[in-house]
Amino acid sequence: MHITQLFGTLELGLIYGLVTIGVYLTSRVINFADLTVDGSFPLGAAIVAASIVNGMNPWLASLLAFLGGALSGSVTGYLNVRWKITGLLAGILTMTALYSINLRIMGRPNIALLSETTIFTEIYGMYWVLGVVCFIIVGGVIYFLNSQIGLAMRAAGTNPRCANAQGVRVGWMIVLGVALSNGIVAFSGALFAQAQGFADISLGTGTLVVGLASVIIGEVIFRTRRLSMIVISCIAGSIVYRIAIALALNTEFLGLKASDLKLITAVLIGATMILPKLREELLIRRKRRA
Amino acid sequence: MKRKLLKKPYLGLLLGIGLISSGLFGNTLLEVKTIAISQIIEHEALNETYRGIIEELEAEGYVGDKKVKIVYETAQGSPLIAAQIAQKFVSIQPDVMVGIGTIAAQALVGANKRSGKPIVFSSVTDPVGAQLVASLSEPGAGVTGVTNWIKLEPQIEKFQQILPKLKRLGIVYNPGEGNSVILVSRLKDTARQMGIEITESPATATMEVGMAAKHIAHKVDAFFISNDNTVLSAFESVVGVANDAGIPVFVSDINKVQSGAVAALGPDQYEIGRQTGKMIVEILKGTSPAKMPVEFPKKTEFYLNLDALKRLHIQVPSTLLQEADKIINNSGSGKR
Repeated sequence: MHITQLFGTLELGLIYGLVTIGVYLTSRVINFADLTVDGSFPLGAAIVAASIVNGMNPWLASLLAFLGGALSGSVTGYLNVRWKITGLLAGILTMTALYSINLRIMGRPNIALLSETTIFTEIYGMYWVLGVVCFIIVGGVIYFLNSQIGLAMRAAGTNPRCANAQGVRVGWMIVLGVALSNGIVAFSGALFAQAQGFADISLGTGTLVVGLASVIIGEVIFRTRRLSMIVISCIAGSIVYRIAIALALNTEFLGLKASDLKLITAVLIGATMILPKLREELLIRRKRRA
Repeated sequence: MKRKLLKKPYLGLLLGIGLISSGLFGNTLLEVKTIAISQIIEHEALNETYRGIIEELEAEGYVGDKKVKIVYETAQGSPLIAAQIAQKFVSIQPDVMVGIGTIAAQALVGANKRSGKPIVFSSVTDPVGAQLVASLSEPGAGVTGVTNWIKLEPQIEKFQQILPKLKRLGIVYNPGEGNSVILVSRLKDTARQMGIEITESPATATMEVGMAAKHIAHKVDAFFISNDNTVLSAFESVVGVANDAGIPVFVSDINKVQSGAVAALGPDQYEIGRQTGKMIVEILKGTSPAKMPVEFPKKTEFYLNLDALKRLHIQVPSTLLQEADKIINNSGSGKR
């Protein structure tokens, strides 16, 4: 793999690393299978693209994307907490509604930002901006999860009954968690649109799957219980996922066709998951023999 | 200690595969031209375009490992993978990059900001709206290509000749597809001027296409399906609904006439590929893409399906039969 491709892979890995953190917050911290992300990722892209095209400052537009995502997440949370709609279905409802809303926001299915000013076209250069933004969000999430509210949220996810007994308002925590998660996901959608130069209605398909896979890859690689490391492992998991696809794109020497891409990606990621287990078992077997 | 050991296999695996693949792209010989083609999705029409590009390159002598290296990837419909493909292309620094479909082309232009290699797009309906080029006549930057846009008036005229009582035309399309949305908005204006009212019915996924068609079948005199990937993928369900309602289906994709449409006046996707191939060759020979205007399909083809016409008891004037480039007629004797 060439160095430019590696950098490009890192760039997408970081952007989707934020999606992974968002998915981690729902799937692991508050135990909520949230499909809203499939709609809030393109929502962020849509908001940022429509705002920038209308002359808004790109930083302000990205912030607006975050808020839009948080709002959509809180709708899912509200449906779940107030009306007892299963988390999965609540997410599906919001995601479905967001498809139409995203089309409304953009006014058409695809907005190009190729010749617009984005947060990446300013003087600092792309990787710096992206690196700093990710650093701030990772730090912010770690700080938040260790704060009073964050601890209450984790308690609400681990053992809602016990948390309730301790005076934690579990319902509020779920709404807050889903909102925060989708805010971050929408923000990374905004980053994606600005980095790649376009927002498209089809951006969201499979966001949750990619996010969940990255969460799990990160967990397997880092095998840690320290919260700060887990949040960082999300970013790492996402980068590994992107590298797997980048490698799958470089396998034509094996005589593989373009349409085999997904199969190779699955095999590579599967191998990433199996190898450490295999290694462990081999070590145990060797120890027994010795 | 144990944890460190566990981590090593990945690094080994990743580095190993990385090194193998980097070796492959390191040795670009001077006379070998590299052409990297990114296609948004595997789809009959787009595959035809790809075939056209390759066969044009072969016809121009760009054939064999010593003359040309073609890197071909499809993004399986995902903008994210299209972005990764674009990054790979930029890193291997090909002589020309080709994007088939709007998103594939946009991803290439986005990633190419850092390298400045020439880009040729193909089968993009609205290159100006997609910000691929500044204007059709003067693209300006290193990007040019072939659009698949063809004029609407001649299409509607043909439909009117086949079905003189045509007053209400129903169009099923995916509001999530940029190509279709722009077409529908232009079609409404054009059709109104020609005395035809357009009824739209949206379908956001292939499984909704049949329902969407059924929803308006009783309100229209005929269906018109344009180059909408979603609806074309479920084209048979539109034909089924139309047959039940006893109304004809017109298309822009000539390959779909065989599948039960009555007629099509549209670009030959294969020819669009050949045209794209010609532009690629010109760039390989040193012409700057900035100076090459965006091309429209040079050739439109007119296909008629006599079987479908007979089933609907529609008599077409013999002049139309003579105009047709191809007539589908399995039930009786016909031309070609």
